[in-house]
Amino acid sequence: MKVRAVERILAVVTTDPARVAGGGAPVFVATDPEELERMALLLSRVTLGMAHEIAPGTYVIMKH
Amino acid sequence: MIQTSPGEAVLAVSVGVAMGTAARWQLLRVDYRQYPSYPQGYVIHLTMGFVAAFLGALAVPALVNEEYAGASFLALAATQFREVRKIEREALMRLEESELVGRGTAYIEGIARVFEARNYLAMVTGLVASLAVVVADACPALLRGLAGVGAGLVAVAVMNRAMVGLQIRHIATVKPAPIGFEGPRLSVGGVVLMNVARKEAREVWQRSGLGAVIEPKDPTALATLATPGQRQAIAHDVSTLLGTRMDLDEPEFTPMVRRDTESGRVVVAIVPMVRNSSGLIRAIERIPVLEASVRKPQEEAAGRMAFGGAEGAAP
Repeated sequence: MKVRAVERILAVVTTDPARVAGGGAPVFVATDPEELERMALLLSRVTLGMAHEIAPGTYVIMKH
Repeated sequence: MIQTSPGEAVLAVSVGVAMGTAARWQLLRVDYRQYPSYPQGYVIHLTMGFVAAFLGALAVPALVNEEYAGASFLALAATQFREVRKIEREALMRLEESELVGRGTAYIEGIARVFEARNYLAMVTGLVASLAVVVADACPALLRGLAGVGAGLVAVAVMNRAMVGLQIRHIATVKPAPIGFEGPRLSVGGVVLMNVARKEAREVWQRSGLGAVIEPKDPTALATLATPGQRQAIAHDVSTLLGTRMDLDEPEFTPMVRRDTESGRVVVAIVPMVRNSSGLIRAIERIPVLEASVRKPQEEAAGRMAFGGAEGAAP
């Protein structure tokens, strides 16, 4: 049986690093909203995860 | 005691086997579920149906000739067909990983049970047909054969009618509803389904997405639609019938079925390959109500107190 991570935050993408602290997931800092969108897209594609908006300017990539 | 000659027994058994196998063949419908749809699948199920019919057809001539060992083979059949259910369940469970939108365990269990039940149907048809041949022993052979065929047809018709299950349209009304966004939160009819962060994905949902609201007709339906198994079956069947834009690396477009916890309404959101709202409504209306999801709160006093009688409205 294949074991995989579910309901887990794989990465955080943000334009405001001051609002993200510690934790197990890597944080990617984007310089502007366009880059945020682009990084969220690329990260969600390579991880097969989904991007959720937690606060304006901060997305988490989650595996469901 | 009626005694049958070997010739008569052969007639009874062969009519029974033919009718039973025909009953199983008639139940091998290929519909949108597309399962089984390849010759290998047919062969497996027809062969099992043949074995079932044979066991059923053998019972009456064996009993008449006081061959009780032969008659007791019926007991063996039950074990055999429980195995069929197990095999179906295991096969479908393994296929779950290769599905974009899984069937869910409740749906799989339902399908597996249907396959088991169809074998019993073939067995009973075989038994009834051979019984008719044995009972009509005063008639000429041709007439006896016809009696068997007639009895078999009646058995199939009666059991087919009895085995029809409910569909969503019997327990709920399905209406189209627009998809909206409050910030990142995707909602249908005011019920939030998921959080979509990316703007591009939101645009796809708004451009190509379809929504529907399923309103349960009574507390029984409300409880049925609340089960995750029933909702997974809806998601699976809707994406089978309309196609889905989702892919392995695009979980944003996963078809969602969520519940309004206030009213018990269930909402559906999907980005189909072809955008057709009435197609979505029709698809949902014809989804089977799963046996595993049927709840009957009003069969008990506590349920009646909570929901206020059979006509009681949802809270």
